[in-house]
Parts: sequence; C-alpha cells; structure tokens
Amino acid sequence: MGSPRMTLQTQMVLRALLQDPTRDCYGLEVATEVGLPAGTVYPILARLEKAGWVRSAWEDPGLHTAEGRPRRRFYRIDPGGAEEARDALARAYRPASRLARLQLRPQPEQRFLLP
Amino acid sequence: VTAVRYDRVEHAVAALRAAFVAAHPAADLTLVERACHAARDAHHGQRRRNGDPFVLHPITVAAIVANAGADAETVCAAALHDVVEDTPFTLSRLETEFGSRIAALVRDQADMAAVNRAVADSTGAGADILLIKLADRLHNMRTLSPLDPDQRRRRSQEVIEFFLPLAERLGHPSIGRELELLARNTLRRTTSARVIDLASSLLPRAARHRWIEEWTAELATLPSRRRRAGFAWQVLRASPRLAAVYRGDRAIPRTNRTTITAVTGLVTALTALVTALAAIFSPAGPPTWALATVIIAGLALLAAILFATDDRAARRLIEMIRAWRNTM
Repeated sequence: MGSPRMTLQTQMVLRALLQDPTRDCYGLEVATEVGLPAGTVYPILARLEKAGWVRSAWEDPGLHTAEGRPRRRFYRIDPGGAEEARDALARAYRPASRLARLQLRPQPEQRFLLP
Repeated sequence: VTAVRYDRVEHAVAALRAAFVAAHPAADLTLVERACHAARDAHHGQRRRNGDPFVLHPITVAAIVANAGADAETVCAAALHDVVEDTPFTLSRLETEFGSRIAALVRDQADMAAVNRAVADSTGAGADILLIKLADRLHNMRTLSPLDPDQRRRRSQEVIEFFLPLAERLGHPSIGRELELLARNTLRRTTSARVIDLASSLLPRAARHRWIEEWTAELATLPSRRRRAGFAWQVLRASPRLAAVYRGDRAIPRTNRTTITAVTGLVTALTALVTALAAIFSPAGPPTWALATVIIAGLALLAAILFATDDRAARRLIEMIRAWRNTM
C-alpha cells in the first residue's frame, strides 16, 4: 500500500491533525476547522487511516454518555505515521506551490506526474 | 506503509478499565480483568450481526455499567451477561469462578420473571439487574443498523415505552437521554437519516455500519433541520469516494467523476422519490410538494441514467437497488 495522494485538501486535513497530534477530533470538527465540506473530509480521513497515518476510535463512554448523545468517531494522528505524514507534507509543499503559481488548476496530464 | 491494525477489543477493554477506575479510583481491577478475559475466551470466534467480534458487545455494556458507577461485581456480570446463554460456559462454572452474586446477576438478567420482579422492586439486586438491562439495550440501540426497519422500530418503541421511564427511575438520566435520542432518530425516520442509509449502501458491507453510526452521531448533534439536510448531502457526496477508498483505487480517474455525479444524483432522486411516495400514500392525502418531487425526481433519475456512460455505473446501480431493497 502506497502513501495517499497529497492533494491540497489532504494536506490541509493532515496539517490540522498534526497541529496537536494528541488531540481527538471528530469528522465534522475537522471539516469545520479546515473549512472544507464534510463530504470531502470523510474520504480523506478514510484514506489517511488506511495508510496508517491516522487512527480512529469510538469515543469513550464517559464523555458522550454524560452529554447523553450517541458516541462519536474520533480521529487523531497515529504515532507511527506522524513522521511519515510530516515528510510527505514537506515534500508535497514545494511542487504544489510552484504549480499553484503557474496555474490555478493543475491539468489532468500533470496531475499524474506529481509524486 | 503497512496499515496499523487497531485492536478494537483491546480498546474496548481499555475503555472499560478507564470507566471503572474513574468511578472507583481505589478499587482493585483484578476481578474486572478476569471477567474480561473469561468473556473474550468464551465468545472467541463469535461475531455480531454487524460483523464485529461478539465480545465487543458485553465489554461495551460493562463499560456503560461501570460508567454509571456500578460496583465491580455488577460490572463483571455485565461483561459476562451473554456467556451462559450463548456459549458453553455454564452457570455453575460462573459461580465457582466468580462467586454467587455475579452468577445470580447473570442468571436473573436473562430471566423474564426475575426482570419483572426487579421492575416491581428496583432496590438492591433489582437495581443492578436493571442497570445491566439498560446498558445492554443502549449498546444494542447504538448498533441497530443491521436489523430490518420493522425490528428497529419495535426496539425503539420499547425504548420509549419501557427503558426511558426505567432510566429515569433508576437515576441514570444520561443513559436515558442517549437512548431517547437513538430511539427518536429511528422512529422519526427523517429524510436525512434515510439519505445516510442510502449513501452507505454504496460502501462495502464490512464498513457500512461504522459509517452509519458515525454519521448518525454527527447528525444527532446538529441543531437545525437545515444543517442536518446539508450534512446528509455531504455524506451523499462522500460515499462514492469512500467506496473507492475501500476498493483500493488510488485516485478516481476523471472519466469516472461523471459516473460519481450521476450515482450521487441517482441516490438523491431515489431518496426524494421514496419520501414523496410515502407522503402521497399517507392517510392525509397527497400534498402538492410531494407530487412536484415525483416529477423532479423522475427527471433527475433520467438525467442520472443518461449521464452514466460506462457499465460500472450500471453495476453500481444494480448493487444499490439491491441494497436499497434490503433496507426498505
């Protein structure tokens, strides 16, 4: 299994999660924080989880039962994947920004040339 | 990169431990640990209807019980509440290994007459039996999605009629609130909840229930109908891409995006159609908006079919209709 494709949105989600690697966030919270629609964020989280960079778990009963709502699914950076995620972010940063200066949207052919 | 396998049973046991320690900071964990171990052994290899390892259920029930402040023996009885019924583990073995109080709790919580006696006199042992029953129902309500709609409605109705007053009377208002939320969500069957069900039918069976539960939990905390509808729409957008993640597609080629748009449109149209048809055949007679929806949804369906150019869409449609039939 390879590392996930570092689209701009993926980078945004990763950066938000890496800000505080010990914090648990639920999907909708991540979406609000990075300012992306929830429909974009869930597949990204699933992809990152599949790559082992992010882990998810159900909320502990203590928290949500006290508030009397169903348990949430929480995401956080996996300790084993944090390093790799940071590297990938650093690598993705340069080509993406140069490309962004050249043209607002990468063309389909160029998309596949990106690492 | 190898995916890190996350042991969910281990995590559930850790949550139980944490809940118990939070309620009894000075207490000895040995008995609870032993009960977890015995439950894992006894339920080894068994699975729940949603595909989870069975033991996740009793362990989570025990965590709910611990969280409600119950003592070690009640927590153990909760962790072992299904072993006598569902495994070769006998009541007498339970009594020798865990003592007569835990054995009696396990026996009585499975016995209709004993539960009824506890309802009539909910002091002492009665309260412990009922707490296990409440927690059992709460976890079952959280994992309701594999059941068919009739069963879901029946369970939710029981929750409203029987378990809510019970939670109130026993002094567990937070369990009551969560039960009520889950039951009302099922009974109301809002369009948003239907959309989530339909959207998740695109996902592989093994992943479906997790996402239904995750999305339902998010939906439940949204304050307005408008926000809920917006969220359901987002879920609809997410599900084809999520399905791609599970299929292992690295990226979705541009040509398939049309298909995805088409499938998404289709799901929306179908949902709108179902809601509208339900309204038309309601006893009150057809409202005009429902008729309009049927026409618009019909057009959307047509457009979706026309836009889907490759056979993957067709295959997905067949899959979806099958899944949809199963959920209706």
